[in-house]
Amino acid sequence: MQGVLQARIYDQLARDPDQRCVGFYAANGEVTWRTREAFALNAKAMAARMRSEGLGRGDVCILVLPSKEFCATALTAALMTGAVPLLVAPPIIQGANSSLERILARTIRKTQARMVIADSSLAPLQSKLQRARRDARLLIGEEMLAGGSADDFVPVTPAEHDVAALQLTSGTTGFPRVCVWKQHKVVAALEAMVGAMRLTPEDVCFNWTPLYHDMGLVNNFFLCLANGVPLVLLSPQTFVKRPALWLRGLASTGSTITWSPNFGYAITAKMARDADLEGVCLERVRAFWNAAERIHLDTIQTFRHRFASYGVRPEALKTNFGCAENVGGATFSEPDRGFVHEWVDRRALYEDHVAVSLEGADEGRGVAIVGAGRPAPGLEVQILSRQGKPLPEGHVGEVALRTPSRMEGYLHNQKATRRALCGDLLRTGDLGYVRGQELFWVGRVRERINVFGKKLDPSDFERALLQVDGLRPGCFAAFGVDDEARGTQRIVVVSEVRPETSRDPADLKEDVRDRLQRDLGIDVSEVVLVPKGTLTKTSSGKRRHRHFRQMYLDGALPTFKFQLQNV
Amino acid sequence: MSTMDGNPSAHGAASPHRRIPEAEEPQTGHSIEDRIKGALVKSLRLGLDPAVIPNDIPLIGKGLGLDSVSILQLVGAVEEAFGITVDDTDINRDLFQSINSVAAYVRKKLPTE
Repeated sequence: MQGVLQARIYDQLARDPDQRCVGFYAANGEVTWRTREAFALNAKAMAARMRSEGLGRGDVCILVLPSKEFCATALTAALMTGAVPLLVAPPIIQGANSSLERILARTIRKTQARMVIADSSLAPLQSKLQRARRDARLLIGEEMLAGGSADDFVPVTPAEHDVAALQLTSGTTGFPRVCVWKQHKVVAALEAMVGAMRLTPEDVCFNWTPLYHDMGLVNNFFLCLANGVPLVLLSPQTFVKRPALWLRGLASTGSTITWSPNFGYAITAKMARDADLEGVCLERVRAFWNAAERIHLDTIQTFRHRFASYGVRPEALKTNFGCAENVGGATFSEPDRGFVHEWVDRRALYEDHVAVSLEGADEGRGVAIVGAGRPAPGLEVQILSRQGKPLPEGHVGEVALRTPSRMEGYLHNQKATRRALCGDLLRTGDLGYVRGQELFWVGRVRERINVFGKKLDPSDFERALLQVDGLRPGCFAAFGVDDEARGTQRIVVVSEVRPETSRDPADLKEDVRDRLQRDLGIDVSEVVLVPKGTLTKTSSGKRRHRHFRQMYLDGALPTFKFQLQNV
Repeated sequence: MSTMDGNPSAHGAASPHRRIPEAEEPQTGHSIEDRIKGALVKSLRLGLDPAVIPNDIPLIGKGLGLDSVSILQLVGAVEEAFGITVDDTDINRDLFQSINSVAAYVRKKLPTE
């Protein structure tokens, strides 16, 4: 049973019952700790309720919950019933929206979910979700899982080759793919992370990243529970409202490890004031991991300088590369040192796909690439050409992993699975190069937008844009542009306009933004309207998002002359 | 960059606003609406004069077009400015219809004297 997630978790929960297990950090700075015994009892009582509602071993249980105590307990309870959990992002702006409804209905059908647990704000969706699958038991509202008894409940231990969990790929728009994780692969991912992070029971982890994201779920929740490491959870909403709480919480709970995408470091450096940080000492934090989106050198350096006087040490600033398809992290900064970076020739990198080292910025010739770390124990990184052949050091190609924690595939998506699982490799769809043993991440093979740790596929935008009168159907480009001040990307949509339209351009732009917000739940920073014939496709009919992104950055996109057209 | 204006957090805010230097403290009046606008401009570093923001401009979608992260940052700033707590369950589309709707919420939350 060594290769079973539940077995590891039950083993830890049974030891030292009074030991701190999970703590919940509130906006007022108070932390409510649950001991191993208390957390296990709460989860067992909830698991008993789930079982009485029909959830059993191997059943899929979808959780659409804010990352707070109820979610942590329900997730553990679902595992105790032997069910297969799948966490879906709840809306930040409360209430049902069409994008969430579509994603949920499709995910329920696709996974043949037995149970869906959501908070009461999703009550308006009840009948629609029930129509998606009549056999699914919908439990909406925390009270639906109250009143269970832990007394006679015996937690289930699945087998090594059972499915442990399902995970949506990190985009939340369109229809995300569903990664299938087997038990022994999840355990292999956790073992690799323990080795690469040198995790010990003396560590304390502090996490504000959402539990539905693999950074929150695997790198924090599973990792800590399966290894007996105390974990403090701060709600992601509360963090964004007051980023200083992250640093205060790290200090007051004696935490040693924490994770965040790049934007978390950026907004903390910008928003946390000295007045909010009185008495805060961060010397105990030995690892600030940065992962899940492009890592900006400026962001890490600004964070480091801003909080050096609070005890942030350079060697504690670390980077990682991972993906849901690998369950957890793949490459990690070395245990005894911080992140590395290098300056490379911009033109050679983007045009010749070769990383030529420079001494420094070299008057704009250079671009800083932050290393994403070295392979975890037992894992190997290969860089592949378009033809799938291994490339030498310093050449940019697709990052492929030979990894003990590879997913089983994408649920009901053989085409995408065949592309990703190639021989004994996992093709990540990311572009990078290797120098020494360090992996340097450069971009994506297919253009994707990466905003606040979510990956969006531009092709998802098409259906929504078809609803906007005045645009030429299908003639658009969508891309992300680095927003260094916020440490993430902002979304730009370029669309061709029907020559005959009489619509006001400002209205048209607002309609595009409104439509994408309503249908996909995404916020577009800028809409650029261009004349017919600007956004030509490739000879095989593919959109060239990357090409038009460069034109946008170069200021080379023509603008649509409404005045002339409409006179 | 052709269309970037060095103002990373405008999020598509309508353009003809008078910009003020970042270091300068935005001038805010004393009404709840003015204080909310002050909190909005300051927390999101919009680089605008709060006085040019109409009270009825929608904050989500059409109008200012704030994204969900910006909305949360605004909520944090409003909580701090008025010493109130906004429940996660209150963060909905109706609340962010306009500066006016946020002000009405704040008035309800403020202790009555």
